[in-house]
Amino acid sequence: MLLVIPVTIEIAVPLKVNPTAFLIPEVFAANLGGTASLIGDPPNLLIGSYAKLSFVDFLANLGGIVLVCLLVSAIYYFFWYRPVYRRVFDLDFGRTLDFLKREYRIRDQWLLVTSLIILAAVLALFLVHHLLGMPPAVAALVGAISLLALSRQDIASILEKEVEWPTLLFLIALFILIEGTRASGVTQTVADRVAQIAQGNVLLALTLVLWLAVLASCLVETVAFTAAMLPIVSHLTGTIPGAETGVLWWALALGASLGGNGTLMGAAANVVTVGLAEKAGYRISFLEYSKSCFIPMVITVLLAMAYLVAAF
Amino acid sequence: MRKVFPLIGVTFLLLVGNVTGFAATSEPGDRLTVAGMIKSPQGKGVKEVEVVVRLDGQPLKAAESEEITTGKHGGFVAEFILPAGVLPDARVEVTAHKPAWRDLPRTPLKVLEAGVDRHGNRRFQASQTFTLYRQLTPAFWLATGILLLVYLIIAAEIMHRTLAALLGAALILFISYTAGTFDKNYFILSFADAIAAIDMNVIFLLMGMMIIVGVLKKTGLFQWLAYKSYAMARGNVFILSCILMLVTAVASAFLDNVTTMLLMIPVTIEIAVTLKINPISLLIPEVFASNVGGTATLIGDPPNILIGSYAKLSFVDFVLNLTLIVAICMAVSLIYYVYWYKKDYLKAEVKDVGRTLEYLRKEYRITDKKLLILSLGMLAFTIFLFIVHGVLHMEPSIAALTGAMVLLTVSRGNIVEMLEREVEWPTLVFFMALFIVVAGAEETGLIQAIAEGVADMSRGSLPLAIMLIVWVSALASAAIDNIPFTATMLPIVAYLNTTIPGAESGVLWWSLALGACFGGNGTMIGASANVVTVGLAEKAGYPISFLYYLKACLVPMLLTVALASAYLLLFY
Repeated sequence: MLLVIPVTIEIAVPLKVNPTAFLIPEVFAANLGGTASLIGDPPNLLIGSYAKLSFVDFLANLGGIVLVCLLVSAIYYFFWYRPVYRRVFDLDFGRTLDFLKREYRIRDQWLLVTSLIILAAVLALFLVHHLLGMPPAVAALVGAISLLALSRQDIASILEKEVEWPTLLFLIALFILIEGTRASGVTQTVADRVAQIAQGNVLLALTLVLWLAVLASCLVETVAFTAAMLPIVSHLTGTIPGAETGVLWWALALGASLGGNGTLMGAAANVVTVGLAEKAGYRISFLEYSKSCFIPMVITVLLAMAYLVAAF
Repeated sequence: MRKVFPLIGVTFLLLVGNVTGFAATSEPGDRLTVAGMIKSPQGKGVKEVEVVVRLDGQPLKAAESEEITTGKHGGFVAEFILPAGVLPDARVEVTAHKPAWRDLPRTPLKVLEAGVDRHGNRRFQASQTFTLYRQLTPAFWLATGILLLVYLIIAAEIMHRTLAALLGAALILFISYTAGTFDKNYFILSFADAIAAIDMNVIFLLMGMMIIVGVLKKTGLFQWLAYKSYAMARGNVFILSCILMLVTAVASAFLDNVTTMLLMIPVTIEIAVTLKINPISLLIPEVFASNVGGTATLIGDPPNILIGSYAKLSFVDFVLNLTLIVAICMAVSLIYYVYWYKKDYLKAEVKDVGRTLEYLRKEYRITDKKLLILSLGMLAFTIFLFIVHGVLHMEPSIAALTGAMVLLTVSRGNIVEMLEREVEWPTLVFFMALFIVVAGAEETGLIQAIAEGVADMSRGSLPLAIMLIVWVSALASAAIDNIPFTATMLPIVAYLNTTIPGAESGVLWWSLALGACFGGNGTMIGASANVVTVGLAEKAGYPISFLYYLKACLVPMLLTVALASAYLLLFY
C-alpha cells in the first residue's frame, strides 16, 4: 500500500475525483490478495510458521477462494462507487498519461534488475522450500542478504531506518505474553471450552474459529489475536475428528485476514492508507470506512465459509 | 546428568502413554524398553542423535514413534513390542547416527528381565551409555571456512561487519538446506539450532541498558560527569585517562562489561569533545580495562560465571586467586596505553583551565532534575538486581528490561524514539548473526577439535598444561567467542585436574579464566564489550577499523597473557 497510495492520489487529483473512491477498494484488494500466500499477510506468516505449512499449501488451499472473493468485491465496489467513477469518463486521458510518464521513472536501473532477479529467486525458493525442508525465514534472509551484498547498500542505515523495530519488538513481547498464557494453562482452558461448545463437530468448530477471528480482527489487533489463537487451534486440530486436514488453520487464516477489512483499524494497511490520505488532505472517517467496507467484508467471509464447508 | 535423565524418560513415557497407551497395551507380545545416554568423549550428552535398535540384525520399529532420537541432554528411551518368546535369547544391538559424528558401530545390549505387566506380557529392559566420536565432514570445513571468510571480510573492510556476519549466517543456513538436504555430510546447522544459538539474554540486556542510557542522556548527567572529571584532573589528560581506566576496571569487576561500557561511553565522548581529542584514544584503553577488570571476580565476565558454576568455586576463591594478577596487568596496561596514546593526549587543549572550567560549569548542567532522579533510581534498582541475580536465578536481561520499561512508563518516555535512535540495532544484529556463525563451527566440531588437541598435547605435564590452556584459550577467545569455548573446555579441564599431578590446587581453572577473559581483548570481536564500543563510537562519528583495533590491543593483550602465564607458573 505504501507504494500504491502516492500513485493513486496523483492519478485521482488530475481526474478531479476524490481519491478515497480508489483507495478504499485498493486496501480491500490488498487485504484480500495477501490472504492467498504465506508471506502476504502477517497472520498467515504466524500461522505458517506455527503449523509448519508451506507456501504452496497456502496457495493451493486459499488461492481459489481469494480469487472468487476478489472478483465479487471488484463487482461490488464498481457498483458502490459508480456515481463517482461516472463523472470521470469524459476527461482527457492523454495529459494525465504524459504527466505520469514524466514523473514516474525508474531511478536506478541496475538496482532494479538485481532486486527483481533476487526477488524471483526468493519466490522460487518459496515454491520449493518445503521440498528442501527449508524454513521460509531462511529463504527470505538469504535473499535480503545477497541483495544487500550485491547492491552495496549501507546495512547500518537499512537496519536503522527501514526495519520496523517497534513492530518486531511488539511481536516478540506478544509471543512472550502468549507463551505465558500457554504455559500457565489459560490457552488449554479456552481451547477445551471451544472444543466443548463444538462437541467434536468440525463444522461448528470451523464456524466458531472463522467468525471469532473475523470479530476479533475487526475490533482488536489481527496479529495479537492470531498469535493467541495459534495454540488453541493447534489443540483443536489434534482433538476434533475430521480436523486433521488442517481446515481450522485455513478458517483462522481466512477469518483473520478477511476480517481485517471490516473496520478502519482491522489491518495495518488500513491504518497506513487512512494516515497517508489524511496527509494528502482527504480525511476518511471511521464510519465512512465501515460503511463502504463492512458489507463486502461480510460477503467475502460468507463465501469463505461456504468454500471451507464444501471443500473440506 | 544422572539426575536429569530419568526425569526426561518419565516425561517421555507419560506423553507417549497418553497418546498410544491403548494400542501398545492391547497387543500381546514381549515388551522391551531400551534406554540410554549418548555422550561425547568429554562426557557431554549429544542431542538429536538418531538411534536404531536391532533385533538379530533387523531394525526394530518403536511402538510409539517412527524415529528414536536423543533429547537435549543426550538421553533416549523407546519401547518395542516383540513376538512372545523371542527374548532373552535374541541378539539386541544399538547403532546411532548423527551428521558430523562417526556412526556408532553395532553395540550389543545386555537385556534384563523385569517381570510381567498386568496383561501377562513379559517385560525386558536394557540401558547403557554410549560414546560417540567426532568425524570431520565437509560441513566442518565449510563452517570453518565461512567463519574465516567472515573474519577476512571484516578485517579487509570489504563490507560492514554486520553485513559480513549476516552473510555468513545466511550462507550456513542456505548450504544446510540445499546441499545438506541431499547429503547429510553437508548439513551444518538446523534453523531451530541457529535460533537457539542467538543468546537473547545478551540482546535484551543490551537493549534494556541502551534504553536506560538513552533516557539518562536526556538529563545532561553525562555532560555533568564529564565536567566533574575534567575538574578533578585539572585538565591533565594523562591523569584523566588513568582515572577513566581505573573506574572502568573496578565497575567491570562487579557489573557486566557491556553495561559498564554503555555507561562510560557517553561520558568519555563528552570529555573528549571538551578536550578536543579523538574519543577513540580514551575509549580503547577503557574497553581493555573493562575486560581485564572483569576477570577478577566470579560475576565480572561470562567465562568466570561458567567456570564458577561448573567447578563450584566461590566469589572469594576468584578474588583470592585472581585479584593480584589482575591488578598487575591493570597497572601494566595503564602504562602501556599512556605511552601508546601520548601523542594524542598531548594534542589536548588545556590552555586556560580556569576559564574552561568556568565555561563547562555553566554549560554542562543537569537539564532535567526530576528525570535524573527517576532514571538514577531505576538504574540503581537494575544494578541491584544484577548483583542479586544469582539468588533470584534472574537472567540479567530480565533485570535490564524491567528497569528500562518501568523507567519509560514512569517518565512517559517515547518508546518508538528510544528504539529507533538509542538502540544500536546494527550491533545487536551483528551479535545475532555472529552467534549463528560460531554455532555452525561449534556444531560441526571445531571447538571440540581444539579442546581435544589441548588435552592430547598436555597429558601428564602440569606446566605444559597451564601454558597450553592459557594460550589456546586466549587465542581462541580473541578469534571466536569465549563463551562456547569455555563451555567446551570445562569438562576437559575437570578431567585434566584429576589426571595431572599437582593440578589439585585448581590452577587449571585459573588458567582457563585468565586466558579466556584476557584473550577477548585481542580483536574487535573478541568480547561483547569491544563490539558494543566500536558500534557506539561509529554511531557517534568515530569509526574504528578492525586493523586499528588489532594494532592498539593485540600487543597489550599478549603482554597481559604472558604475565598471567608467568604468574600461574610461579605461584602454583
